[in-house]
This record gives sequence, C-alpha cells and structure tokens, in this order.
Amino acid sequence: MLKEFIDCGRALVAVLEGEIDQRSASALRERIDIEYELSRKPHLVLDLTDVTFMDSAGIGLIIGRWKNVTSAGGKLALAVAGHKLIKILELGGVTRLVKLCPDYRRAVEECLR
Amino acid sequence: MNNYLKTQFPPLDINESLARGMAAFFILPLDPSVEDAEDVKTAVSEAVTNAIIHGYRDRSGAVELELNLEGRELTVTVRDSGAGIEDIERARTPMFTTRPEEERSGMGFTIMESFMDSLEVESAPGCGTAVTMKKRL
Ligand SMILES: Nc1ncnc2c1ncn2[C@@H]1O[C@H](COP(=O)(O)OP(=O)(O)OP(=O)(O)O)[C@@H](O)[C@H]1O
Ligand SMILES: [Mg+2]
Repeated sequence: MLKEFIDCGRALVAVLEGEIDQRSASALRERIDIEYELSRKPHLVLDLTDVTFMDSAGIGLIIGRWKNVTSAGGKLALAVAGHKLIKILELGGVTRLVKLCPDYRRAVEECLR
Repeated sequence: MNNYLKTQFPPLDINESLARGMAAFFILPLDPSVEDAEDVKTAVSEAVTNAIIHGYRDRSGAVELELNLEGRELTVTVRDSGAGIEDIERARTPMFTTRPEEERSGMGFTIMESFMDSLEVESAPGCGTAVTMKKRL
C-alpha cells in the first residue's frame, strides 16, 4: 500500500507500507508512475522501511520503476531497514542496480550525488 | 509433531495473502526462526500467485494448498488444474517469464528454489501444475 508521497526537491519519495504482492503491486505501480510524471522530478526514492512482506511482484515493481527513472535520466534509490527484505532484493538482482540506504533522507542524498 | 492442513480456494488475488498467512500459522507451533517463517511465506506466495495468474488467468477453478508436517520437515504442495507448463526446465530458469509485459521478473521459481530446501514441479499443458516444496524447520 501507498502511505504518502514526500516532496524532496529534485526527488520524489514514495513511502510504501504493508505487503507488496501481485495484488497490491499493480495499484502501487499506477499511483507511483502518475505521481512521478506529474512531479516532473528526475529522481525517485522508494521508502520500504514500513514494508512487512515482499515477493517477486515487488522485484518486478522496483525493476520496472528503475527502468522508467533511468531512461528519463534520473536515479532510483531505496530506503530499507533491517534485514527482512535484503535476501529477496539480492536474489532478485535489485541490489546490483539500485543503492540501498537506511532511510529515505539518505536515499534522497544518494540520488543527488 | 505430525500435522496436515488441506485447503481449496478460488483463484482470486486476495487469497495470496490468505494462503501465506495459513502457512505461517501452520508452522508457528514449531517456533521457527523469523527467517525460516519469512522464507516459507514467500515461497507459498510465489506458488499460489503462479497458480492464480498463470494457471487460471481469468478462468475459474480451484487452487489447492496442502501443508504437511512430519517432525520438523515441512512439505508444501500447491496444485491447480489450469493451463499447465509446456517446458518446465525453461520456466524454472531465472528471469524467464511468459508475461514480460506485466513487469514480471520471472523470479518466482528461483525464489521458491532458494528459499526452500527442494522444489519439484509436475505439469502438463491443459492439465495443470503441481508444485511441491520441502523445508526443514
Ligand atoms: N501454475 C502455473 N501454471 C502455468 N504456468 C506457470 C505456472 N507457474 C509458472 N508458470 C510459468 O512459468 C513461468 C515462470 O514462473 P515464475 O514464477 O518463475 O515467473 P513469473 O511468474 O513469470 O514472474 P514473477 O514470479 O517474477 O512475477 C511463468 O511465466 C509461467 O509461464
Ligand atoms: Mg511467478
């Protein structure tokens, strides 16, 4: 589920919460893409610190956003707390493409580097 | 401890969280590690999601979830009577998906394989698919 969007200058932060599976991923994708386009910001941060569960639908969601944002010339970064999601993010190849940060502010800094 | 649970449900996406929740509750008496519980939930979610979206697509039918405990050995079977898989080897390849247009990562089988101790897939086109996974808790 989508908790909120935060305006961080040149980066848009999407704060997600709860479980990301096939059911929630399609609605998330649509809301994030619309907001990202409307915001006209180059960078996107997905804040996953309040995400309690994620399966391959989450991998698809993140890699899809990475493709969109990088092809528009921006950067994508993730905020991830604890170890819970690390295993699946690594297996899904996300950690090779996207920087993981402990909170969204540091993820925004990472985009602006 | 030996125990089992057999359930059937329609191929609706709300049942993905129901199925992984049942699996999590089923193993709870064993007091599994947080990581093991998370692995089981994720693997069940992958198998059930596949049965719903690839097996049945928008058709009706029943998804079967069977959980079996022998001591600390968990066996999960997810069965559908849907479309079936033509080439199982290829389907199990990391990043292979027949539906790339939906942003699928093609990582479902890879996740089941690495989060559980073993994965077996039986399938025939037109007859359906059965996925059996085992994990020692
Ligand atoms: N129950 C099933 N019935 C029919 N086809 C299936 C079934 N499960 C898997 N498949 C086929 O195997 C392929 C690979 O499955 P896998 O779960 O690895 O990836 P995916 O579902 O396509 O993507 P992801 O799981 O990352 O969202 C699928 O694209 C589909 O063609
Ligand atoms: Mg899948």
